[in-house]
Amino acid sequence: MSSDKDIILPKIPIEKGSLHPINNMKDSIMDLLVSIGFEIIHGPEIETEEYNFDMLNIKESHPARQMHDTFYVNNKENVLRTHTSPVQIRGMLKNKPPLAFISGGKVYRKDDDATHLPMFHQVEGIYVDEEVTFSQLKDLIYKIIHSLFGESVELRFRPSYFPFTEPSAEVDILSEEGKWLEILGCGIVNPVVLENCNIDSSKFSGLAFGLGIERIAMLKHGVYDIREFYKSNLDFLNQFK
Amino acid sequence: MKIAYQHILKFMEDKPDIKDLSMKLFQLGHEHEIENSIFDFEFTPNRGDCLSLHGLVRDLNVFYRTNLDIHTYDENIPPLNLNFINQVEEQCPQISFLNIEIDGKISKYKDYLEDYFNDLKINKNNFFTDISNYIAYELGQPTHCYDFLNMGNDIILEENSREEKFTTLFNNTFNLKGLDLVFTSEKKIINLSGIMGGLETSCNKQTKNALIECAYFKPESIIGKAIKYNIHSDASHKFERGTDPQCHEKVLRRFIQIVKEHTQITKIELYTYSGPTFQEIELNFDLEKINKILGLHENEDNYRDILNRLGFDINKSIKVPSFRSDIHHQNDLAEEFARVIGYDNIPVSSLNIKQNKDRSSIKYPSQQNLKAFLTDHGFIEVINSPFCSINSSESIRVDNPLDSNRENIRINLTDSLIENLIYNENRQNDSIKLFEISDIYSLKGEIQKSKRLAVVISGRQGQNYLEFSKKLNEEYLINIFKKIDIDISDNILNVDRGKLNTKIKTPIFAIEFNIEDLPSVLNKPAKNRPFDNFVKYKPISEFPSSYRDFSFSVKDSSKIIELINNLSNIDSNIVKNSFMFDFYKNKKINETKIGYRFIFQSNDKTLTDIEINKEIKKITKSALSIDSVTLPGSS
Repeated sequence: MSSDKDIILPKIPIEKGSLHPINNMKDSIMDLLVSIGFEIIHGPEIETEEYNFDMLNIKESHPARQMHDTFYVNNKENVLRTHTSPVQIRGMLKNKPPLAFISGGKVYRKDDDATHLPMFHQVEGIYVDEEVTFSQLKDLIYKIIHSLFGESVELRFRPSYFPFTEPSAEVDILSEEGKWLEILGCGIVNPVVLENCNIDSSKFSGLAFGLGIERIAMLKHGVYDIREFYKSNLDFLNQFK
Repeated sequence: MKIAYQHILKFMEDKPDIKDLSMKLFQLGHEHEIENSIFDFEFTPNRGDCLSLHGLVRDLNVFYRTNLDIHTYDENIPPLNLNFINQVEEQCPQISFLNIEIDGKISKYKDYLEDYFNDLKINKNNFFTDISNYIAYELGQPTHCYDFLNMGNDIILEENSREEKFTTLFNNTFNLKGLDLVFTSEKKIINLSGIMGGLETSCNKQTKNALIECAYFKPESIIGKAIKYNIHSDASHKFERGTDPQCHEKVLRRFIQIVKEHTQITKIELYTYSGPTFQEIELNFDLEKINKILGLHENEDNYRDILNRLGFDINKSIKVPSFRSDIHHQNDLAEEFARVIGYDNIPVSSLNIKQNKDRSSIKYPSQQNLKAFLTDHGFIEVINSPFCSINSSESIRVDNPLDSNRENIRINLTDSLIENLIYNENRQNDSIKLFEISDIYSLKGEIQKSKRLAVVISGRQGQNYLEFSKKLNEEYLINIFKKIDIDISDNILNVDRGKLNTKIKTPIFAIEFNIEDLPSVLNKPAKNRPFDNFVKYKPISEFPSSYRDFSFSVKDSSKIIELINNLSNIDSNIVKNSFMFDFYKNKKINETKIGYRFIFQSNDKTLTDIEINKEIKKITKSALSIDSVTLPGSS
């Protein structure tokens, strides 16, 4: 009987597949937040206007409602959620504080050009308890940004505006090229939103934050065109093994 | 909104340099870019009060000494007898009309007016409209100028629902549809309120008698109209964000003053309509609450000083100025203090999340483990848009789709994956294993949601000598899922290529199923992902690739590893991929055959045969320098 012992059969490299870089980034951030103490909750992508806007203090007359270019579906009975915030509303309506929830997933805006896609991903979180402060929000944001971009990254908080938080802030990091890049939005939960969810705003306060996953993935992976993520081109996806 | 640095300085006693001013504006939340000393602001939508020179300087007063004194006409103005009917008092509670008649030559514009047009590169129009535009810039209140002689005998502010043609002062004509707030005169629409006036009654260079309208519209009555008709005006932008309901007299007196500084006024008359009085907002000062929101221990005097400088009237309670429609509760006050203290100056205090012990921590490891299992077996995850053209009885329709190809929400994942597969086949990929996990929504009486996994495969099993000649087939899929206790044998779809836009014949297999209840084998804890290994992406090429196969012979089996190492470590800019597709030992002649495929692709062009052959020569020369290695058939 012949034997192959005189030659070593070459090893077959393991042909690993890859997770989509957006899902991988989203899940990595969710893992980080779970390690900080947040619970993951889920909600539907097809929402009511009530949850997507009204409960979040985005009134019909509000300029912010115009900012969200919304997709309406099902004879205008529903919307494709324009952010993951309605999931937080559902979480707050079902549970009593203290509560610390995160949710992540697809969101939709009626936009389609080189820098905006009709579908993109967010991760949002909310923490409601007695005496939650802006100082603590800063601590959380530092933890998130340092985990993502390293301890030495320079960051700044800028006043901003979201109807569901007050005070509201946007957080920028300083790029290697010396340019400030917007990374996330955050703030102290607007007491109107707490009251909408039957939470006594004289007793409880909350912090909330939200990150756009594509933006962070673009920075971390050096991808310059957001559309690359959704061409499903194997030459692209294979790079994220 | 563009505001010139020099124009801001005119109202400042302190004269900060542009860099210092820019930093303070950022601290206050007024994001901007600067080009040639012009600030281009992107004000947040709650700060309509900042959409003017005065509004901005009013905010800067918290950091600098400012002087907002302006010349206004201060003499008595006789009343105007105007046949005005306000049918929508709720939406427009305050409105004034100024009748102004001029005579004689209009002098050269004063510096402040000339600078506005020159510095901001704004086109001049006619005398009255130019002043109106300048006042909107200076004070933030839009005014509309009608040529009074072209008006009818009445003016009615009403809600219109008739479908009617309307021509704007820029001579754009469109049909009004749905409910709009309009001004009519003798039943003709003369102004789309708060958005843009009509052509027929607009002022021109010959206008000597103008009627200046100065109104407060509730934002909700204006919002969405500019988008509806695609006519974005400075006025609609301001009204949507809220104007000051109590500034009208000052604005019109400023208007008269500017006219007076340029020509002779022969007549002025004022009509004022005042509906329900403006309700001032009064807030208590809750120091404890504000310090709790921010996590600070500031004293009340500091806070009071900040509010004073921002124009708030403070006695026992805090009176919110009429221009600050964004202040309603203690959190809003807290934000005012935070802006002025500086968000970056608020100290950090440690956050330790207390969780409700009654709620067990909810984690979903099985899905993560399913994904990890599939990628370990060479599958690539994709994410597809849910929009599609396919309409079934269960499809949820998009009421305002981006285009006709995206009118429906997909009711399966497989169709998207097949599209992905064809896309990649067209890019010379011959071994494709894709999967997607996503929620799927369908309409079965009511909206139903299910979480699905779909997988499609086609082509070679792998890019290695054991799998290269084996095809991805049903059995392959069944065996994969067997490993995690999922039996898919009855559900595999053999995709009909006849309906696809492709000439390739390789069979395609697909499977799609609900994954709400995954087998327990997947329920072990999922691994956390580290944050330190995000690969840097290399741009992919849009140019076609070409491959070349080589069959090397090796007599001396001790040289096989050297040959493989040599071929695996080719240093080339145009070799996109290479792998060993064949390995066979002919024992009779004691010779090993090694088949190697090289795939060539350039990032900037389609490669020619000459360029590829040049690279091949390099590769083979290096391989053939190894003892006992030959390339049969080559010269």
